Amino acid sequence: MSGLNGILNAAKRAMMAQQVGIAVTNHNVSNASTPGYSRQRVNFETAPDEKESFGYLGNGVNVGSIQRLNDTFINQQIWTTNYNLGQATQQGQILNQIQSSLNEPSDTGLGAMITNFFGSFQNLALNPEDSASRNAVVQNTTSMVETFNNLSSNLQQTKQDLTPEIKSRVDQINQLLQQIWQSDQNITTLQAGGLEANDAQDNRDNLIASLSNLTNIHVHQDNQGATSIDIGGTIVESASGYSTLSAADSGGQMQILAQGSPQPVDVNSGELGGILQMVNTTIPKYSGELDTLASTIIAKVNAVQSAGFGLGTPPPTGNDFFTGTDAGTIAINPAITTSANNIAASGDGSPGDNSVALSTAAIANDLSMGGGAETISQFYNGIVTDVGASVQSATNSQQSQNLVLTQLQNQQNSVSGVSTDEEMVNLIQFQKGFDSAAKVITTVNDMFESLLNMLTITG
Amino acid sequence: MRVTENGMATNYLTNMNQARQKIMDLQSQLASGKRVQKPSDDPIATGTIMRLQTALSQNAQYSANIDAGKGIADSTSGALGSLSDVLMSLKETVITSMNGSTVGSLSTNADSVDQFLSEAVDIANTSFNGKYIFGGTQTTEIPYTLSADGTTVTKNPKGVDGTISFPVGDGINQQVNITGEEAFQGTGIFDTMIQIRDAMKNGIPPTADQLNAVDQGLNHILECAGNAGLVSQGFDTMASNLAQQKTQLTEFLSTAQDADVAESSLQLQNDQTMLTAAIQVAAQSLPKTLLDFLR
Repeated sequence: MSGLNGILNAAKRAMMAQQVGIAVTNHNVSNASTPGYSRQRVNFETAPDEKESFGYLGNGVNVGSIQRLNDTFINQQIWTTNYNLGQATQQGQILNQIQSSLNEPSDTGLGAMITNFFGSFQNLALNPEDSASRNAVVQNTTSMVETFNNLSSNLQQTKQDLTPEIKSRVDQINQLLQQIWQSDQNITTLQAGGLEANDAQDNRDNLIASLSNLTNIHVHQDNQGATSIDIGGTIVESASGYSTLSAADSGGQMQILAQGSPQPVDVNSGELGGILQMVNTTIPKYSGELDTLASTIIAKVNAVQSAGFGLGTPPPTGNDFFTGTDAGTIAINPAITTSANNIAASGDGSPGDNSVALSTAAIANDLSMGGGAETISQFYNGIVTDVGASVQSATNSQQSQNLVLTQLQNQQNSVSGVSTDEEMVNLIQFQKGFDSAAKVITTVNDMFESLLNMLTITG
Repeated sequence: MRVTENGMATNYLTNMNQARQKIMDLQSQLASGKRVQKPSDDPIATGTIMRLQTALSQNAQYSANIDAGKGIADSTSGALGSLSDVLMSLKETVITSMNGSTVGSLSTNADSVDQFLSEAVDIANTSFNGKYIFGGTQTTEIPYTLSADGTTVTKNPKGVDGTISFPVGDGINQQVNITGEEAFQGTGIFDTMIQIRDAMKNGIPPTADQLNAVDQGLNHILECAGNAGLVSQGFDTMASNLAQQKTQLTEFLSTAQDADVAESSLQLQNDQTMLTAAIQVAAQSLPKTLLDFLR
């Protein structure tokens, strides 16, 4: 359709197209700080031309599409980094709690208590007939035993406190899965006509990002734009629906079960994965080591003590020094708190003999731990350095994952982020375009007027 | 690469957080004077620190043991020294009595010997720090009893022969006492004195054999006193070794644990300057966009 009307129509389309451009610019600028927003771009294309005798005459502009600028590959990497970071953060926090309850290196930690305990037996050896040195043994033992009990109950408490943390994260995951599924359904409907549902896709990616902080996920996207998500191989969301997860205690191990699937879901990363690892592996390991330490001290000291003699006529013998079996239950034998004279220092009943006090003190130097490789103190030092190294490695991993995340977010920003400068340039461009089209219309209008004037003159 | 305002802001925040974290760590190091405050600050150094702390408290314990042991050894050698003086006087009396004394002087000398006997028994019952040092491990019961009529000296029926050792190093125990059994050869030395006294009371001068027995007893006591002196000297050497070891351990501990104040302060200053620079740059560049110029 050529002629003045044709130009007018083309100019009208141009004005409308520039308006769309300005609308999208406005949308971009408005959402510059919206988390997860991907900038959009208007793709203009030339309107179908018309064949004239002299050639093909251009017919102006059309809005081809509004495109969302987003890199799915970077998204996938961000999600992976998210769950690694979530795992490291949780583990760092929990290990830090364990580390601070150890209170090392210090002169009030369990390490110093153990040294003092054995030291007090050396002091007893100097004055076995003296009640002051016996009372010192009782005091030092009480301090050590209380520290053992506290550490043990702290670990148990930390573990117990994590159960609601697990539950709340499972709830969050369930909510997110439902929302992602709904968003997915929404997108499939919206895109049925072949148009891109830009903002809906941003919304879904946002939900997936939140999910990726909680657990390790793998996201597949089909050609129609529908997603399916699996956690460690178990499909938890797809076009056909979503699973509901639940946490269950199975023989002391917390497991995550998907509805309708007998196999536990392999949650090995993310905040949930990090917590699970702490609850199922790390805390039981440290409790176990602490228990081994306590039970070795109990067994070794009792064996030596019960064979020795205390102070009195006749000298008491056969008294265990400790009761209990592990770090949680270790306690000083009530018979000894009742009378410190029941502590055995003598090997033959004579009050000045200190051989049993000496052999009790010498347990500190026995290679009784770690299969005959370590003393009690060395074994405990091993636990402390292990906790320290774990905290350090979690912190390091947290820092490096954070760096990776920043890098990836920068990359994502360079693709999807809104640049106000750029938008302003676009705005000016669209405005000028709009102005130019308007000018064309005024010109055509003038031309129409000229024609009409000609008619009037003739009439 | 496209640069966006959001990207710049995120970058700036990340960098500033890191700078602040560094400054916080340095501040807490400087405030506490310790480079390693928690195991995660340096797990390997933590292991070293804890080992050194254990070694230091063992060192202190061994020093205390040695002090206590030296007290016993010194009082043992002191007591045995006094006993050797007594035996020396006894020997002189015996020699005088052997060389043709009158019955009257023999009787007087017998009184002297009786006096020596009770002194010797008193010395055998020396107590140090509330413990009888020659009682073996029966430190709470009197080791030697002179019967009221002065005819017999009996030792504690539970024995005076238990040895007492103190730990002076890892796995090293040093015997600190000399038992009554060893020093006085059971009751041998007292029995000799009683025999001589009783004979002299009856007007019989001491025999050469008896003089020999006194001589032999004196030599034995001198030997025991020497041994106790050697133990005490050994303790002195160990104590000075321990003191030296303590100085070294303390130095190692300080190296492993303490913050280098000069270095940390310098680093802190550096980090603070960097932070200020970052804040200044951000304050100037972050708010600028094209909008500022489209008036």
